Parts: sequence; structure tokens; C-alpha cells
Amino acid sequence: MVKQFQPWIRRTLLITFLVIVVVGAVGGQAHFEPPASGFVSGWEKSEDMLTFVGHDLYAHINGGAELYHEFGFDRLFVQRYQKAGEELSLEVYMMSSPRSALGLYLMKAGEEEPLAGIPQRNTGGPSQITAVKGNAFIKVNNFTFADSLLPTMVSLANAALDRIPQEQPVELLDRLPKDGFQSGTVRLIRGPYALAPIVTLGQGDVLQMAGRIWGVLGRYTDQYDSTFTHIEVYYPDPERAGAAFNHLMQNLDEYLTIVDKEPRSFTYSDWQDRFGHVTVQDSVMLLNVNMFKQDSRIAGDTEATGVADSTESD
Amino acid sequence: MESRFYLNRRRFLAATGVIGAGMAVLGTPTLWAQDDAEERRPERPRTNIDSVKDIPRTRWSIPGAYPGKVVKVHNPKALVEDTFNADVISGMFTHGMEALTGKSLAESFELFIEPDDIVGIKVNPVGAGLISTRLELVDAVVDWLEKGGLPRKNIVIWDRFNSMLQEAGFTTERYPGIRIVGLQEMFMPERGEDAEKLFLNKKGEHKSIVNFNKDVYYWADVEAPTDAQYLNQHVANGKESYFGKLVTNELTKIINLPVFKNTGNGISVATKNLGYAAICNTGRLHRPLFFDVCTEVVAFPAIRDKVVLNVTDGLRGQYDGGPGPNSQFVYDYNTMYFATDPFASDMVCHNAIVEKRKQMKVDVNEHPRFTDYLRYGERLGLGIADVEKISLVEA
Repeated sequence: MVKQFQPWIRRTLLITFLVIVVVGAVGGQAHFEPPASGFVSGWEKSEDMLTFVGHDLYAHINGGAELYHEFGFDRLFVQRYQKAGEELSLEVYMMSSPRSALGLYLMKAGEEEPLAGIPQRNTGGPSQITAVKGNAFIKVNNFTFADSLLPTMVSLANAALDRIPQEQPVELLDRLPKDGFQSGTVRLIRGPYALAPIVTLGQGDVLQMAGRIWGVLGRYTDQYDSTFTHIEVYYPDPERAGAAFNHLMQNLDEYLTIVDKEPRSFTYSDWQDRFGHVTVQDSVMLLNVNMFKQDSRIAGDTEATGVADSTESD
Repeated sequence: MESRFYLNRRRFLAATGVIGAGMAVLGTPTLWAQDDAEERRPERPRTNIDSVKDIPRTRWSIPGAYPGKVVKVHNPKALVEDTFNADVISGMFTHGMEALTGKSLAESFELFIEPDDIVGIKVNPVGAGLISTRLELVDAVVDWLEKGGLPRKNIVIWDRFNSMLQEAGFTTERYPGIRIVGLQEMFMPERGEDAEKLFLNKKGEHKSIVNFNKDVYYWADVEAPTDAQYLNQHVANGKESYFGKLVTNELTKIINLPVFKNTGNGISVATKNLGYAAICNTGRLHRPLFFDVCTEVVAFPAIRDKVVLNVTDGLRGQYDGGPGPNSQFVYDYNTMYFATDPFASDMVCHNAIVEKRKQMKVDVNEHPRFTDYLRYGERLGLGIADVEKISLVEA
């Protein structure tokens, strides 16, 4: 089984362009020293580390690189290790900020199942471990499903995480209302690709986030015991929030129909007779989407702080 | 502005007087929503679909002999503790073919294949060994073809990328006497090496361009990047995506063996396995035309008139993180889907993957745009996408 995967591991990495460009660090970490051979006895680096910078990522992740770029991808370091015919690969995605790294991690982690022995936020199992620390989102890949390699994978993950500086915690997650929040559903968004798994509001970057404006979302239980998603997008000022609101209303997805409208809010219905409600308050756009009832709401009113995200981008 | 590519049901009914007669087809809220959506749909890039969609069909054209029929075969013994059982998989193939055709496996051969056919088996080698088309399934198909009388030299296992085929185990050593054909190479420079020197010929074109037919192409009014990396990966960078000569000039039949996996909120199964593999220069098409390519490329006679059978390899499935391999979301599914109609098969597979995503509590967006391309295929007469008209047989 392992031999069956060896060619893929080797060639999947080699089939892409190797573009090693040493550039001045912009955000992110320009260089990463992977764990040395022997991080666990017998495990050796199997070849030189690969580096993918900026749009070179498309060669490594052909169908999905857009999400990484939307969150602020800087560069990827890929190092493979082998021992007695078995192989692991380490991928270290250096992002532009801790918020970017966490946003990507939350998109990729799914329902988290943290592994004991990794102090950083993580999830995983015998086939893959993902974790986040500072500006980095890391993956340790085992292309078999053999449980026996899990301890080694944990060691490799920890060895990699030890090389990544710790940063300040990301506070954006704390802005969501607490009442009715369904644990484990928080996501960060910075554009249409992160929003796509949740809802389609229109073509392209219909919320005008431009990969620079941050938002946060989570699933909630409404007063009818149904689930909907609450989204908050933080614009730098009321003018841009208002402009984005108008843009959304004028470019609303063809499958959504406005059923009620106020100067600074509107409600739509979708093709499944579910509802969405959009409001702009100061510099924040608030959206409740995928509601089963038109008046679904979080228990208690949601009040935006009116405090804009102090930095548009990282 | 009404797009010329989409039939507007409401206007059609009005033109025929049906609405005026008060006998409008009420349909369902979803259908009415789709009508409204079509009127409001933003203009999309022009393509040359109009130049091919009315070309007369042949007896072999999709949706084939069993439009709308999809057979699902499940056997939990196919994949056990990471080991694939070739005999069980072969049995599943037999069972599925018999349920699809109502005939024995041997008798089914002549329903699809003629004695002089050159049959291309379209596999998906991405994620070799993890989520690629299983060799055991290909073995079962090859065995069926041979026992039907087709010589091995008339069989081709193909994909777009030659190196991926090799990685996934599709080699001449593994399949002696059978051609293994990738439409293109993607060249990998060593550190410091000039990539262009590797992949450009003396004319400044990609070396693999000779494998593509410049007379048969999918044209889309979408610019392509002009950088070397794109050209190396996609062979051409104009507004034409050329079909592979293998597909246009050599193959007379295609057996489609896609894998069961997602791509974002949609799927990458039967139509995508054909639409994005038969042509070059596809990267430019992702953003403006992503799923429509799966339909419009398949509408070209080089595909439409040759795809006689679709067997979806769901022995493993991947419900998230696709279309690339992502082991975290790979699971044992032990299932195959059989159909002559790739659009019906894809609709069934789409719904199955959505259910799996919900079960696994992955975020699910069921916006119609992720299946609009299948309904588009139905409007073009390529298959059945309406779930009310699809017959799913669990064999």
C-alpha cells in the first residue's frame, strides 16, 4: 500500500513547477527551516524542501488555490520524510497574519477532533493532521490510513510548530453574539471563496470585501429551534459599508428575490423558500442567511459595536 | 438580457399561448425560481456551443440507450481495511452492467461496442492510489472488452496528463498490449533550470501541441494568462481549447470511469472527467465558465457521439476538499454507479455527495448554480437532470 502511494507523493510534488524565488518578506515568513532528519529516530528528509511563492501555489493546488490567496497566502514550504519505505509530508502555509492562518484553518479543519500531544489548535487523524500557530497553517500528510504512523505525525507537527513564532490571539472570533451560537461553527471570511460554502448572494465579490475586509460567521439556533447562519462584515467606515450594502442589493443573486425593503435593510427569499435578512449598521453589515422563517433571529437583538476593523488588510 | 444559451420557459409558454390560455404549467417553486433566475442571470462569456449543438446525432450519442437510468451497486466487501478485493469489484461491475442493460455481461457487449472500435477508457488519475480510478475496476472493464472480442491493441487508457497516468499505475507494464495515452506532458524544471527550454519547441509552442487538433476546439471569449507557468500546464493560451487528437481522430468509443468526489459545493465526476480532460487550455475557464464547460465540451460530437458508458468509481469517496486529494475527507463508500447518461449519473452523485457532506457536518451550499450545468445538459438533449425523471436502481 505504501509503495502504491510513493510515486504519487513524489510526483504530485514534482509535477508542479519548482519555483524557488527568494524575495523580500512581505507579511509572512520568507524562510522556514523544516524539522531536521531524525525528528523521530529513523526518519530522514527524502529530498530538498520545495517552496511555492504567491501564484505558484496554483501548481500545487490546482483546484482550490483561490481560497488560500483570498485569505492572504504568502508562501508554502513542503518537506517530505521517509523511513523504511514509509513517507510523510509536511506542508507549512505561511499566511500574511495570524488571522489569515486561522481563517484558512477553520475552513479546512471541518469538525475539529484535536489530537492529544499537540498544544496548538489542531485536528486530525491517521491520514492527516492540520494545525495553526501564528501566521502558519500546517498539514502533516500520511497517504496511507495506517494508525501506526500517528505518533510520528504528531512529533513532526510539533517539531514544525516549534519553529513558528507565537503571535497574539485572534480576537475577531469573540465578536459574534453568544446566545444561540452553535459551538464549532465559527468561520472567518474575507471574500467570496470563503463565503461560498455558506451562501451564494451574487456573482463574484458581491460583498466587496476585496480580500481585505474581514467578516466572521457562525450557525445559530433561532427562536423556532431551526438553524441559520449569522454573518458580520466589518468595513473600515460607514461609507464603505453603505456602498457594499447598495452593491449587494443591486447585484443580488438571480435566485434570490427581495420581499421586503427598508433604507438600510432588506429581506429576501430564495429558491427553497428560505429567507435572508441584510442590515447595515454604521460600518458593519449584518446578515442572517438560510433562515427557515422570515423573522428568524438570534435570541435577543444583535447590536453591532460600530467599531470598524482597524486594519483592512493584514 | 436573455442569454441565448438558456431556454426561457416562461417566454416559451407565452409564445405558444399556453400562459395566455391560463393553462400555464405550474411546476414547482423551484422551477419558477429557475425561470426568474434565467431572466436575471448575468451575461456569461460567449462560446462556440452554437456551432456544434445542432450537429445531427448518431445511434451512439448520449444519453445513450438508457436515458435517465442510473444503477447503484454497493458491496461492503469491495474495500476492507484498506485492501481492495479485485474479485468483488469485478462482480460489482458484472452486476451493474446486468442491472443497467437487462442482459448478461457477455450479451451487453454488443449494446455498446462494435468489432472494429477503438475504445478509450477515460480514467481519473488525480490523487494516485488515494482517490484515483481503481486499477481493479479498469481490469474488469478490460476483461469485459476482451471477452467480447475486442483486441487489446484497440483499447486505450487515457487522460490529459501522461505523468499522472504513470503515477496512478496505468503503465504499459501493468497493461501490456494496451496503449496508455496522456494528451500532454507538463515539464518540471530542476532548480535553476529554464522551464521554457524544456516545454517549448522551436516554434515557441508547447511540445504537446502536436497531440491536439487545431481544427476542433472549444472557443470561449476568455483570455488566458500568457506566463510560462500557465503555458507549461495548459499547452495553449489563446481563446481556443483544442481537443486531443486521440479523442477526435482515433477513438470511436469512450468508456468513462470517473471517481466520486466533490469540487467545492459541486462535484467532479462524470461530466467533469470528460469536459476538462478532452481539451487543453482550461485554467482560464474555471472562474467564468466552470461547470458550463462540463456540459458544452461534452456536447461536441467528439465526446457526445462516443461516450457509451459511464461507471463511477465510488469504492472510495471524497466529500470535501476536492477535487484534489484530501485524505481527511476520504472514506470507504464501496459503491459504483452505472449509466449511459452522464448527466443523470452526475445528478445522482451530486445529491449523494451533498447528503454525505450534511452527514459529516460540512458546510453545504445547495445553490442551484452548482447543478445548473446539468439542467443545461438536459436542455441540450444530452441527458436527464430532472430528479423526477431519473430512475435510480439500487441493484
